[in-house]
Amino acid sequence: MLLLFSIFIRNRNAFLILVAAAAALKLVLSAVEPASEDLGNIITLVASGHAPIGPWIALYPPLYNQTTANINQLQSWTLAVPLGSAELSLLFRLPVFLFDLATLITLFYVGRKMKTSQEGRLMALIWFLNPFSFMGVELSALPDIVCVFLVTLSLLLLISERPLLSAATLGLGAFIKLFPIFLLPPLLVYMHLNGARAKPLLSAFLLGALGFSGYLAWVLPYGTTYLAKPTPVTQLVPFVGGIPNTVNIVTFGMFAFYCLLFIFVKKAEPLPIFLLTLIVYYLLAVPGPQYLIWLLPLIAVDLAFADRLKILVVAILLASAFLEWFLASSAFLTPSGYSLLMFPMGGENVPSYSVALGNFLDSDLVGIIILPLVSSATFAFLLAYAAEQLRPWFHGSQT
Amino acid sequence: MIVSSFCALKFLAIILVPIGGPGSDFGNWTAEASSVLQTVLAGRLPALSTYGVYIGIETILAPFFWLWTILPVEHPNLNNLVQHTPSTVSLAVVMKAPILIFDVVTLILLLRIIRRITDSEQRSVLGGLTWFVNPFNFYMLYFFGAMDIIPISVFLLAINFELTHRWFRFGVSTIVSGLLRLFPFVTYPFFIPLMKAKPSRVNFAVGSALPIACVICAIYLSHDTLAAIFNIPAEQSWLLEFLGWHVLGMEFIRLSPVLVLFQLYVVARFWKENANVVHLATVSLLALSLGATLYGGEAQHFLWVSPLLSACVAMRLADSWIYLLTFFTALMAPTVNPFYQWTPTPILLDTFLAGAFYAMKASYLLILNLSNFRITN
Repeated sequence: MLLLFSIFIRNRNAFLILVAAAAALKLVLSAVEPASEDLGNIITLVASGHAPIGPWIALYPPLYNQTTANINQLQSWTLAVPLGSAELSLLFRLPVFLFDLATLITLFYVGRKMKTSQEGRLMALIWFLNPFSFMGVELSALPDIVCVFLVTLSLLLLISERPLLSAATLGLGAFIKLFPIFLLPPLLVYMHLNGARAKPLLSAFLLGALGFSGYLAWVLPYGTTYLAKPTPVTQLVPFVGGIPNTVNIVTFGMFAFYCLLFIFVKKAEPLPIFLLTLIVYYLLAVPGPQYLIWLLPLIAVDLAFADRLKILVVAILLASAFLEWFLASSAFLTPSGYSLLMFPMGGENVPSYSVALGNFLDSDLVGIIILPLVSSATFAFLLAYAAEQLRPWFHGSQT
Repeated sequence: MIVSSFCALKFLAIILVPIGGPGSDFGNWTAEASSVLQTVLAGRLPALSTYGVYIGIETILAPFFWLWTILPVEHPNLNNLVQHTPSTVSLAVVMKAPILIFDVVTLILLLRIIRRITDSEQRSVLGGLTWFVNPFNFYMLYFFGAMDIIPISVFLLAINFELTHRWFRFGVSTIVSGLLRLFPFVTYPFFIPLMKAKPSRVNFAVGSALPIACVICAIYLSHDTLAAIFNIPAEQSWLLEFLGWHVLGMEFIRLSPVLVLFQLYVVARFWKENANVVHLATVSLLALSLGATLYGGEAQHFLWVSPLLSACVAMRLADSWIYLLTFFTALMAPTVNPFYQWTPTPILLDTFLAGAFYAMKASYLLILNLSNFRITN
């Protein structure tokens, strides 16, 4: 198996054939898969007319310039039975798929820049063939893939010694879905450690801040609701709200982390600080399995140079996150009810095994024992992975 | 001499401490043993779904209750016991006998474990005494009535087998102790790296599978349904306390599994390769008792760690101070301290004393980790 896999990494043509085959499979499944709960929510958001949609409208062509009647038709679209709606299903997912492909290409260049083309192919395949990214990108059609791509591009620009372009890319990411803004302080630390003077540092900061302002500009017209309430397109701003006069744990954690970063990191390399920043933010603010997609390209880069134990930690992490997603999230549901990994289980006439699965997912056993154990395992293995990222800090070298 | 004196003292406690008194678990165990006995006498196997996860201990106690029923004394209803009558004294002696028996068994096993690890008779005696004369253990066993001593003994037997490389028996006894009181299951993944060769791993796996197969047969014979068994956590909701606090207030992320799994990672990544089984078992159970909520992590369950800490302190005498402080704070913890109800300002002291106990558990966990770290980390 490993030998077979190594052929795809060593041989350029074999790699391209594998990617083409996987892409074709993804496209076919994109066309025949029912819409996810997230897609349903996005359609509802657009239909409501009272929620921010911002730059996202361009990502879902069928939503563009819709009349009320068309929106109603979309909402009544029996998403669980997509037969006959393959074009519509594909149109909803094609842009998302293109960003998936763009991330693959960017990862290839990251690997080539860091070492050789073989590492590039390995990183690209870890991303593209990963069931987790397939689930998060094509099947769920999560809009986060745009920012995931921009963060990966930002990393590529940074290791190519283009820090200002990297900051601009992060700013663009923050304009779309906020979370890339948390990578701005590590980027500034990196620039500082590489001898950047005040002017480029200020420029990088302003580019990031501009993106953040842009995000606020399309969210705030609807009030502060969407700063404290997540939707598929907007992101919870973890510093807003909470109990008055208490310490906001995310604010505390992120500030403390940035300070420690500044104190301990003496020889900055972009990957560990980017990855660790996103892990810390994820652990403190949004430990839901679907958001692991933010980290996945960076994890793919890291895995290309990892030892066996680290690979094992990541494998368990992704497996438990996948299971947690399956058990907990409505992303695995279609509007008509339960499905198995979003493959339709009968539409209107739900078969007995689908009902059994639904009953199992709703049972006390899942809710009070299995789900807490699985969620805690995901959290614990991400902590372990964070520790793996921290180890080089105490050895004077980072890879 | 010391052991004989303490045996006498413990026997005295057995007679004098009433069954079913406040703050005691004796009444619960006795009632459940009586119920299991009635089921068996009716010609049926006790069902797991009826008796819950402690069916094993209750089954072991049932013959002792039967022994009391054939004694030539009155046998009043358990709800109408009058303390210090021949009936209750005989009931106390019979039902608490397993505690004394397994307390002594634990002592013997502990002596063997320490002697085997340290190769020192003196340290073995020291470790044994820290278990046998420890006032915390004395209180939890003879006043509170923690039947946890039964699975603890079986668990120590498992450790003994590991030290003599008898992998099949190691597997059997680890799983049996887990079936009796669940907590040894937590240690299971920590033990797997102890077996370096494939045959030892196979023996361990086969030994582990055997008791599980027996339990499956028993479940089948008792006509239990899977749905009823899966419903046990909902029925015995206090079990969920062992999952621990909610991490950062998040609904599904619980501290115990996070700590135990992170500890597993720390062992795999940072520990010396030849770490011994006692340290592995101790850190896994300490992590569990640190993560569990106040109820699940209360001092009663710290008894699981107690004999292991006795072995640890005998192996590293430099840690005596932390051992003493840990057990002092355990005794002072609000859920243990026998004088706590007479403390003038309990609410004021409650969080302080509980916090001190948790801090000592955390410190001991840290020290054990540090002492096992590879130098090249």
